[in-house]
Amino acid sequence: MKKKVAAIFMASIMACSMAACGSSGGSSDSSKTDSKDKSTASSTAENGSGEVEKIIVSFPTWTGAPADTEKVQEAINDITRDKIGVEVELSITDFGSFNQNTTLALSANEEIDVLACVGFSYQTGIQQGYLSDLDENDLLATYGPDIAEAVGQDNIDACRVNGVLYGLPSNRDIAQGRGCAAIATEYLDGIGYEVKSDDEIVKISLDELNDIYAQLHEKYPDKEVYRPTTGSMSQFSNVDSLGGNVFGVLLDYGQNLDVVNLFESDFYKNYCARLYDYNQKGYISADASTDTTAVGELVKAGTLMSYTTGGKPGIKAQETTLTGRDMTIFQTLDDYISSTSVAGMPWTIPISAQHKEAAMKFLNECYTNADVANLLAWGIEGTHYKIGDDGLATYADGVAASNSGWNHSMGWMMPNQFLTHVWEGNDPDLWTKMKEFNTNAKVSKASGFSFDSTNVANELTAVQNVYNEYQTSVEYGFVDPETGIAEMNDKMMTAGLQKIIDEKKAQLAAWQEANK
Amino acid sequence: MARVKSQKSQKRRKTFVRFLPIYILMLPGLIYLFINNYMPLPGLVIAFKQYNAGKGIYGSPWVGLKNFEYLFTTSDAFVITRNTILYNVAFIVINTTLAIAVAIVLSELEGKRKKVYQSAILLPNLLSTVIIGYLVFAFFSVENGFINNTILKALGKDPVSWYSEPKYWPFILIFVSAWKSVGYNCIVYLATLMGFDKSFYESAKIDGATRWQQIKYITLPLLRPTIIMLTMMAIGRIFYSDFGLFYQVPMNQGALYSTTNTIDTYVYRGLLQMGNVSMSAAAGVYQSIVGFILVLGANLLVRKIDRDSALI
Repeated sequence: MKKKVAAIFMASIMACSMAACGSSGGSSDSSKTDSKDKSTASSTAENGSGEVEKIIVSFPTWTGAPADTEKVQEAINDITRDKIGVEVELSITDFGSFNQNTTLALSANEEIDVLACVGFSYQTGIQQGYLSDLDENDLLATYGPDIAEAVGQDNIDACRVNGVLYGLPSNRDIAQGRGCAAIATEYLDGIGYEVKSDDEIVKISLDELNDIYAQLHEKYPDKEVYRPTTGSMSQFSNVDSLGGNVFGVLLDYGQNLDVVNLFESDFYKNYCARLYDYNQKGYISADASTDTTAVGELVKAGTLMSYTTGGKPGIKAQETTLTGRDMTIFQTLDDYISSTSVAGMPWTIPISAQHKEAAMKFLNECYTNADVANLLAWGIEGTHYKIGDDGLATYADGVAASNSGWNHSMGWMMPNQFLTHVWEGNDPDLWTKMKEFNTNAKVSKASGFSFDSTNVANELTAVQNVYNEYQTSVEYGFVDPETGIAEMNDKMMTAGLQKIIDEKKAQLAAWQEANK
Repeated sequence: MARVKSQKSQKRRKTFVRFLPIYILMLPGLIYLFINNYMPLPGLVIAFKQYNAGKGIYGSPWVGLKNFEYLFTTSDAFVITRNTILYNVAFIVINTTLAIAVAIVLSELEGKRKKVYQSAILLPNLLSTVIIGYLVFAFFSVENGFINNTILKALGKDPVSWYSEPKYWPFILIFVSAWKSVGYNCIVYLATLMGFDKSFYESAKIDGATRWQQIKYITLPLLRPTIIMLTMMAIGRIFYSDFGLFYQVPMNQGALYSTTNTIDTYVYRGLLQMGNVSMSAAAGVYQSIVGFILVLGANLLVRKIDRDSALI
């Protein structure tokens, strides 16, 4: 008997050691039933309270759910409940955790009815099968009939991957002003720099920017001049990162369809050399890679003077709001629409959605109803913002950036920013200018191309691992680019970088053939 | 023949009835084990499939061992296996030695002082690893850290960029682990020590044994079964790393991966940053298989040395 008990005990210990991977894999199983239970529970609730369907809408903001999320949610529901019979629950996560939380929720099949693919990769979502086909059962045509008109059929089609539509683009700055640096104006005044133009974005050369940095460093040796982030390299480049990753890119604003290895390009070498130079001169904090505080916060705190951003009409007001200091925006490169811009941050309906029709109805409202759009972007009129005499929105009485309960400065993420009020400090014609900005920008020749990475999933993971290991040290200029880039490139080649580039070449050629 | 059989089954039933209360006692634990450790086992198939949430676990296409390839095309599999095992071996040796030493010292103390010391040593174990990560950062931060600004400055040495030099991290992590866990680890040893018959020590003293001799010839031999048992349990988990220690304490720095990446952090990064469920599951399966082999191997070794202490 004793032996038997011991045997069972042993068996259970073995089981413990076996279970680790099972628990990660199997969790989707158990939670599937879990969420089904939930959905039956909520559908019974619906039957009790009439025909209103409750959907969960998930998106990030820089700092997580604003204090007045429930008030805004209630205000949205007051509109949508009667009009389309939908109630929303806003599930808001801070930007830094959004990718992880969303991956976790989707892999566990938790209910999300409407999801913003911002910070969470649209490509990954499609590959893992988390997103549903919006044309299925004519979902878009039946329940979102006004969306195509609001954003344009071309833009919708740009979100198709292998012909299937998984997401809807937002109306925003599709082009991006590349090579932009935001510098707090007070420090520019300190060095006596005079902005030589009335434009919102001041065009200068890279040498001039370097010169400003040198003067800033001299005048304010205790402050950090510039802080790179993981997104800085692509914002400060003219590359087209095909398929949303930098393994195999088009150079020169995508003007020729020649897929090259970014890490062997002169652009990359020069970029890293510049950052290395910044580091040698002491412009960048030695803790830059460990400190994950948002650059806006650092400027607000007064320890940082400049950072990289993406240019667009309204950027000056946006960054000024973000940092609480007047910012001057400089641009060293051109305005550019890359092949991934349009489909970069679409709104999607995940397969874990329990109310797909209601989700589409709600999206239709977001794209067409100015009241809903304003609530999402600026909050409640009178509580969070008011309309001034000039017709521009500003903080409501007694409310400021610091104590507003709904001040996420993520209007660009919302489905239709063009419906919302223009914030004070901007050109009243901001949205017209935005449309012009989108029309006038350089467009990548690969625009509309989407990369299917199924065949190189292994290589992508392995190469991404290498990139994770080296990115901050190389791109923040902590190591000598002469040796650092070569080391990283060699390791990536071993991990299969060439195969990814070849695959991109082949797919791009096929796409070119089909779209002649 | 039939009678013999029925007699046997009758006997079996009798023993079953006799031990019924014990079986019932065992039931909650078994149910827990079943739900938590057995029910997820079918999920293992994900590692061999190209998982697509739309098609579900069983509808996704089979891809054989393809999901495992990325582990072995680079040196990833080697690095994470090496790190996981070497760190855990170091932890087992160092943390056990320290725990025993601290337990012996504490057992010599009396009254209030002992409680104060014990609580103080236990305190780090109650801290969240995130907080520990920032405590470590306060020491090692390149610009404002205590070590660069105070110690190295006083010694007249150049500041070190701690978070981009992988070579220092084995020492830092082992130190942090020891500091964090010694208080907790010594509790069991201390409890065992307190239960020893004091007359051993009294007679040893009469015979003129020194403190060191008492420890060497009385305390340690008496502690031996406890040491073996706790070490065996630690070996059973040798292929699992303390996730917080390896993820939070090095601040998830890419430059440190070569000495801080363990299987758990690798799987975590794989799933949550790259979002590929199948490949993470593959790394998990790899962990289970190597872990299983290690546990059996360690047990075999212990059985050769000391049969009674072996688990199987």
